[in-house]
Amino acid sequence: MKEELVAMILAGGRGSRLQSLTNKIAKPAVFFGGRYRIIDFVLSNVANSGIKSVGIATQYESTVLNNYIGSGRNWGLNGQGALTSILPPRETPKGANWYAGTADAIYQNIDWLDKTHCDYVVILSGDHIYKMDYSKMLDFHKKNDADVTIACYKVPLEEASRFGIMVADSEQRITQFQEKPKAPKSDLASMGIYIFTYSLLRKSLIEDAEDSKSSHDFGKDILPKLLAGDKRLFAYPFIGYWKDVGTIHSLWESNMDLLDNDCTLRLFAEKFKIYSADTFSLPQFISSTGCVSDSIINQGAIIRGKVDHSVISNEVVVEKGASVKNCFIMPGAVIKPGVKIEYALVGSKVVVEKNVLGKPDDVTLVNDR
Amino acid sequence: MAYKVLGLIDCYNNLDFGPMTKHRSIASTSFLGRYAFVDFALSNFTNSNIENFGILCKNHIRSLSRHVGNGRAWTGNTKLGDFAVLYDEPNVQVPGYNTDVANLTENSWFLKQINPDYVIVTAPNVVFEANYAQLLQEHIDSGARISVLYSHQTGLKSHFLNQKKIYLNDKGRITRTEVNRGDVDEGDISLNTLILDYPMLCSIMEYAQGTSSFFGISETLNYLFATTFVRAVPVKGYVRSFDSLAHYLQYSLELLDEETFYSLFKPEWPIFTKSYDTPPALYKEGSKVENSYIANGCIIEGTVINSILGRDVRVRKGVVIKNAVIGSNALIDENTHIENAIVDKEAQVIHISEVKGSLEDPLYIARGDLV
Repeated sequence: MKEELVAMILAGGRGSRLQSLTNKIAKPAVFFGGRYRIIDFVLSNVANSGIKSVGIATQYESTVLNNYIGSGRNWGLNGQGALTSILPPRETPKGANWYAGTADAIYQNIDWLDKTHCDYVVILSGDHIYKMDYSKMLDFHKKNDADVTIACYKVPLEEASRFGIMVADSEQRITQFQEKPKAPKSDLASMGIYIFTYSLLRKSLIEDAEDSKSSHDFGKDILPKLLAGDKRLFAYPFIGYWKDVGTIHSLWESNMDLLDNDCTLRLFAEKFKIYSADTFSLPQFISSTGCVSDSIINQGAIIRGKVDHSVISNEVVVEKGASVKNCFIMPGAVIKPGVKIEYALVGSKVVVEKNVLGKPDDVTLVNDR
Repeated sequence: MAYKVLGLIDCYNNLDFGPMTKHRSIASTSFLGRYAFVDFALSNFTNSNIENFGILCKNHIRSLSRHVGNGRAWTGNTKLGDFAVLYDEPNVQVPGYNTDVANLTENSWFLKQINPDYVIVTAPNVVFEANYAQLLQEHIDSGARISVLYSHQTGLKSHFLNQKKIYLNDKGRITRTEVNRGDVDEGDISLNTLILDYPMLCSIMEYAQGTSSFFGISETLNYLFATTFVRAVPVKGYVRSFDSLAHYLQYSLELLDEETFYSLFKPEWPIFTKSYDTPPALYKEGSKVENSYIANGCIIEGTVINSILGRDVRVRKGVVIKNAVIGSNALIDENTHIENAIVDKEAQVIHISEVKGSLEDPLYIARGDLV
C-alpha cells in the first residue's frame, strides 16, 4: 500500500468534563445531533477528503467506540485498498504501555504508519464537530513546502486567551505559540489538527519518546521544539463551523447551533455528507397531540407532547402533555407525561419523570438511569 | 435452524398501483416514508434466520436492484447465505410466458446451488409479519407437503378484491379457491405465501411446464387441492394487501393510527431497510405537524397533517399537506395545498396551488414531474 496522506485520529481520552456521559463510553462515542456520534464527523471528513487509510487510537472505555468503528463500513472506509485500523495500546516484547500523551499514541503506532508508506500524516481529534476537506489543507502544506501545517480557527480576540494561539507572519508562517495568553498577539486558535510531513514526524516522535522530561504532547512538546528548531510551521486558516464539544455546555450549545438558520456546518447539504450507522428505527411519528417547532428530530422518535428549539434523537419518546424546550435528548430517553424540561441535556435511555429547569448559562445534565 | 431453507419473494401475480408502478415494482415502491414494500418480506426472512433468499423479479429490475443491492441489509451471516435477484431474461418481453415458474426454470442454477430442504415463497405486496422458523416447524410436524398462509378477513367487498379466497374443510385442508369478486364480505384470503419442501416445488414447476407455458405456481396450486393435502395456516395480526393506488394511500394513512401501527411493528421484529445516511428531519419555526410520519432529511416550514413524508422532502412556508403521501426528495413550494394525493419521488410542485384528489381516487403526481 502506498498512500500520500493517511489519517491518525486521537480518540483515547476520557473527556471527564462531560461528567457521567463518559462513565461508560469514550467521548468520541458520545451521541450528537439526533443521529450521530461525535466521531462520525471526523471519520466522514476523512472519507470525504479521499483518504483511504485511517488509524484510530483508542484507550479509555473503548468497547462501544471500537465496536462502532468496526471495519469502517459506516463511512465507506472498508472498500478495496482502504484500511480502518483501531489502534489500542499494545503489549510488545518490551512490555505493555498505556498511551502517555497525544504524541506517544502516535509514536507507539509508528510501525502502522510505516506500513502505509505515506508521505504525509494528518493528525486529528475524535471530538470535534466540523466539516473539513483535509486534501485542501494538504495542498496548502505542499504549496508552502511546510514541515507542519496547523489548522487554525479565527476566534474573537477577547476570547483568544482561552486557546492555544498561533502567531503567524503575512505568509501564514508561524513565528510564535502562545498557550492561553493573557495578551494574545493573534486571533488564530489551534484546532489541534496537524499535517506533518511523515519523515519529520517520525524523527520527532522518536526523539520525543527518548526525552524523559517530555510530557509527550503535540501542543506542549513536539510543536514548540520544531518551531525552536526553525522548521517551517504554517497556520492553515479554516473557515466554517468548528466546535470542540468537550463540556456539557459546549455539547449542548453545539446541538443548539444546528437549529440556527445561519449555522455554517451545513449538516443538511447534499455534498460532504456526515455518515453514521443506521439505527433501523421505525419512522418518526408526530401524534395528533404532538407539536414541534424549530427542532431536529431523528427517525424512531415519537412525539406526543410539545417540542420547541430542541434536538431529539432516535427512539426518544416525548409523552402527551410533556414540554421540551432548548434541550438535546439522546437516543431512547423518555420524557414522561406532563414533565416540563428546559435547557437540559438528557442522556441515552434516561426516563425523565420530574420537571427539569436548567438555565441558558447553566444547562442541566440529566443522566441518572 | 436445523434445515436449509430458501426464502423466495415472488413479484409475479402482484397487482399494481396504476401510474405509480409504471416504472417500478410494488416490491421497491416506497412505503411509510422510509421503507420499500419488499423490506417486510425480507425482514421476515432475516428475523426467522433464513440465510438464503432470492427475489423472483418479473420486470422493472433497475428499481428493485437499486433498493436491495447485494442483500447485505437483510443478511445475517454474510458468508453462510446466498442472495440473488432472479430475472427471466428471455421472457421479459413476452409477458404471457413470463411466469414465476419460467423464472425459476431459467434460474434453476440458484435452486441447485442452494439445494434447500424447504422453500418459502411469499409476496411483497402483502404486508404482515410471519415467524417462519416457527411456521416451518409446525409445517413439518403436520406432515403436509404444502402449507398456505391465510388471514380471516371482513370487508372483502372493498378490500382484497381480485385476490385468492380459500375454502377449507374442518381438517384445515384447502378444498378450493376462488377470486374475491366482492360479493361476500367475510372470508379467508390467501396471503400468497407457501411453505413447501424442495422436491414439492420441483414437482409444481414440472407440472406447470407440462400443462401450460402460461402456468405459474399459483395456477398450478389450484389443480393440486383434489389430490394433495394443502394445509391452510391462519395468520393473526396486521395483514393488508396493497393492491391499488387508492388502497396504497388509504392503508398508508390507516397506519397513522397508533394501535394499527403497533399491530404491525413489534420491538422484537425489526424491519430492515437500505440506509441513506440522511440527517434527521428539521422542523422550522412556524411549522405544524400533526399525526404524521416524517422520514429523515425533511425540512418542514409549512403544515403537515395526517400524512407521510419520505426522505429529504422540502415543505415550504404556507404549504398545507393533508392525507397525502409525499415521496423522497419532493419539493412542495410555498402556499401549495395538497390533499388526498400522492406526490411521487423528486416531483416538484411549484406552479400550481392546489393538488387535490379524494381518498377513493387520489391525485397522483409522477416521479420527477414539475407542476
